[in-house]
Amino acid sequence: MNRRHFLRTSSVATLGGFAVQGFASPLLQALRKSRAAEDRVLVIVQLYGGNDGLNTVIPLDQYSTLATKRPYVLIPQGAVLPLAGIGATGLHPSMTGMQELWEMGKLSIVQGVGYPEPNYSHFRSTDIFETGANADQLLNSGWAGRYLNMEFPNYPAGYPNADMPDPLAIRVGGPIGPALQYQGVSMGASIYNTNDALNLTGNLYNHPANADRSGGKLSFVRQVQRQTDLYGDVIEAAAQAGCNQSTLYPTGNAPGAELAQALKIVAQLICGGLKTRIYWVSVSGFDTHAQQVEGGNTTVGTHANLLKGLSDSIHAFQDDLSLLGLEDRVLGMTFSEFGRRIVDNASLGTDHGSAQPMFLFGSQVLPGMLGTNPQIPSNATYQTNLAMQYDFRSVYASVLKDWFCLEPQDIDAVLLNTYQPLSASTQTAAWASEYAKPTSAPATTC
Amino acid sequence: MWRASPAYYQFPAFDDIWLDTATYPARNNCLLGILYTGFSTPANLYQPESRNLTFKADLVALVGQFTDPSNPNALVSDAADLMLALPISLLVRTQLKIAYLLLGQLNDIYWTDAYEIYVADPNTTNMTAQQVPNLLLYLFLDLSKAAETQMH
Repeated sequence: MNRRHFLRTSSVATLGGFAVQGFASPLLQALRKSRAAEDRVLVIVQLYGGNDGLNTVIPLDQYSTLATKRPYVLIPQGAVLPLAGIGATGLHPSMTGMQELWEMGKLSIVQGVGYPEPNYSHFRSTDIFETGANADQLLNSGWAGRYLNMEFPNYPAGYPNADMPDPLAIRVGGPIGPALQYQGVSMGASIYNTNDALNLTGNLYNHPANADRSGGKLSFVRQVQRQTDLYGDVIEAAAQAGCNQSTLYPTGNAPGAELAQALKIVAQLICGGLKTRIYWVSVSGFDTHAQQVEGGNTTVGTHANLLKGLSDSIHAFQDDLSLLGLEDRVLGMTFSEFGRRIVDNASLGTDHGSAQPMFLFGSQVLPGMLGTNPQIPSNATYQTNLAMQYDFRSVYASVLKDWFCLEPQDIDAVLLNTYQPLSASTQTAAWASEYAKPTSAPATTC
Repeated sequence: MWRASPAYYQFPAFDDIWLDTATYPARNNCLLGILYTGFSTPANLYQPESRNLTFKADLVALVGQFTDPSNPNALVSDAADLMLALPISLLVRTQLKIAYLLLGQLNDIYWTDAYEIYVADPNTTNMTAQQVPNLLLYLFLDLSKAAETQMH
């Protein structure tokens, strides 16, 4: 039993054979406060559809080859946003927000993330990324669900309790997917209704009740539902107590407004004091088979808007966390079910591929780029895919090890196999001294 | 059960006593049993052939009777009509479709393809099509949580 589990179960302590119920020990309180890992939050941003990595993180050292392989969607070299410190890699022109995070030392790029024997079906590959399965394996629990089960055994029996009064995970803006399932139990709460920031417990079925008798009955059923909802009150209380400070969130018809609204709620709930470990948000629309770019100007169009929305929302979220003084507690991670093909198509789009870049963001990331630019073979055909550099479960293993402070055997138990965590020593030495390093001392020690 | 109107002397709340914080979870468990775990007959019944039978909704067979189950829009509409006592908006139906039948994708063809492969051969080795029963399960589990479901 490791220390964290000891502390969690120590509300019934045994002294000389006598059970002592929940005594208030200043020592235990102090220890609890020192458990940095338990204050840490992971925010996962899922990009549905398969993001085109080659137009997101652009390998400038391969540009001439890329130009021959991507006549329809290629971003003009001069428009690519430079990443300070590494000349050979740049970002899509619409990602100014994430470029700024890079310059502030709050962005890490992991190149070439995938898995062996890639599957090109959205459903299947989403399932693989969410459950942490091998390509030929069907799992009925999610990787995040298995992690939460390790930290909070037997959930939901005995929860909420004094140690964990809040939802273990919260999905904002959608249903709880396979990643947060564990043995038929959903390990999180879902906030579907993101439009009313103070009434976050509303579910998907939030039509106003009719003014007739059926409406009266509907309201009554909803009231009873709410009474049986264990977490409705704590979420609403956190929403009331929390706040947002940033004015940078995209709103209205701006790209990314929906994602921004979800991330804004996440910041609000963290600020409101929830101990929730994992927040999960998503954006749809990355399945850009056609019209990924606009004819005549490849820097605008569907993908440009998606990336602008992603980048602006995450930038605003970081700004908010910084203003709220919460930055050092929060780590963000993006993923998509796959990347896209090297060779583009005449519909101004790209088709399902394999390896993709992932972003880790926050004040506590080791800034820089992990891995190398993807290699574009000069003889690449339509069928050719980018080589995998890192197994996605190695990224998860790093998060579990360095952020949630799991022991190696616990990481293996969550991921159902041994995956090498990412090694900081292989990180590209990206930092020119004039660029800011994280302002506070990194707290990513376990 | 929602009835049109209780007798005058039953006002104001007589017709509300069927649902409370004890019966609501029980009703939910019942729905969960129908959809997910199944109900089994006891092992000690007199007639051997009646023992240990499991009853569980066959959602693939159920939606097979819908108007056009390979069209995810029609499928969600029919499922909502069946499960919910009050209509839900197109917006909510679309959210359900994207969340459950399309797993976050925006193109209906991904459901249609998976469903047609699965229906043509339920023992298919296509791992995408193998997900079809679970996609339906999670759609129906979500529908079962709507207040509108309790009003049937």
